[in-house]
Amino acid sequence: MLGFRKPASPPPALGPLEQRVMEVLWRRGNCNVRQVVEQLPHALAYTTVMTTLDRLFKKGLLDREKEDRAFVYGPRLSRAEWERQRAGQFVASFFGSAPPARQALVSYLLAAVEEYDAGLLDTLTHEIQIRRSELEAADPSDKT
Amino acid sequence: MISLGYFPRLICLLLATGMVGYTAGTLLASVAAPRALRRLERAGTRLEHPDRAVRWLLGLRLFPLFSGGLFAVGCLSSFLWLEQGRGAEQAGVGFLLCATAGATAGGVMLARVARAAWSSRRLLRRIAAEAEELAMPQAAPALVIADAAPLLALAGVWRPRLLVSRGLLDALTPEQLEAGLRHERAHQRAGDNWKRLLLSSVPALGLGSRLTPVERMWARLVEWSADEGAASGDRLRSLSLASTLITLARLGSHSLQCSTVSFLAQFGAGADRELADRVQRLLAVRSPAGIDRWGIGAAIGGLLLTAMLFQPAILHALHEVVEVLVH
Repeated sequence: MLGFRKPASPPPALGPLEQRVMEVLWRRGNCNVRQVVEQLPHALAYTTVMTTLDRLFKKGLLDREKEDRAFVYGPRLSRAEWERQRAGQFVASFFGSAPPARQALVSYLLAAVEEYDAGLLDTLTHEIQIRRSELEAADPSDKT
Repeated sequence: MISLGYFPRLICLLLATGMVGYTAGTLLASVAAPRALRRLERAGTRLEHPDRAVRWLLGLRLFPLFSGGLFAVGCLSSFLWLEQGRGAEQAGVGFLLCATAGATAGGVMLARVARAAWSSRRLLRRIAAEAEELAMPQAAPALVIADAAPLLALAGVWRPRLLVSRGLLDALTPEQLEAGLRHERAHQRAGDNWKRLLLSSVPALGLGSRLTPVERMWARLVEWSADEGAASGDRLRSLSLASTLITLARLGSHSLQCSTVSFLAQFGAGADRELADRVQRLLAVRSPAGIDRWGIGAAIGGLLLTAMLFQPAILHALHEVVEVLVH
């Protein structure tokens, strides 16, 4: 219906388990698989955590080095850096061209990821303020 | 000529007559569309009742479905009533081609509905996995997305959910947030996501250049209509909603500059105009619309037309048409 330019690829979203594993690594720093398993609040299989760490490495969120025949994983970005990179990307992906966002049935208040004319926004704000002042100056019972 | 049994003939008849009616409806709608759009363009922001315009535009775009359905039901009724022989009959290639086209158009429509429903469900699942729930007064809980960019939306069809981004939640005053939520609830009450689903699924049969502008105008006016539904003729609510729109626009422009996102021109230069139009309309608050006499008239006309279809004389005439179409 309407044309979109293709967005920059957003940083990967995290699933619930990936989020918990990342929390451990952000809190503890570099860990091997066994250390992550021990730090998780719920008991999980070693292989499940290993697969999750491998997936996070492939997503580019972790670095890894081999120490004593086992990989030691460390976060590539600090939590603050990751959150900063994610800021705006999730909402931006809403308006993007990639499915499912493009075909999903969503009503927006305003497709706000836009470059609006600052002068126009100032003018409209001024007009709203004038109307508000007029309304406040009028009889409070006559607001409708 | 190919020999067809009673039931295959019945199915093919349904598909072929549906397609013929749909095609005729599409042609009529494509002729009427430019005129209707010119009229709405002329009215501009002075348009008195956007809710009525939205209904007419929806009716115009979905008219092919109505005409196709009506013609198919009429022909089917005449076939069931007047077709005596239950044996096989010869059917022409044209008839079979029409039936195939009908099946294709129906399949395309169903596929589009399924794709949109699946996309919405997937999007909501993805959001629900990351978002937290926020209790809302007099409404289902909203999903709060941990994102700095502004978003206030209603997503989904069967169980639509309100979505709010953390950035917007932090930036809006309670009054502005309430105004924005009222706008989204107006969409929910009007079933706008259902209508969006229907609009996105009806094939335009190659006449998209004439019918897509109808969808675009509908999408524009449905926002005006939801704005008015949210304000309900109350000046203070109107002003709150107008300032919510400005805050959203400012946050959106800001998030464009500070994030790595450098795309999107949904309406291109029209975004400014669209925003200005909405704010101007909210500043000139209008009374809620009264009874839509033309709308009621059209609904009664449609019902009368449907009732007339089952008159014996009409059914006989339709049966003649069916005979010509089949053979």
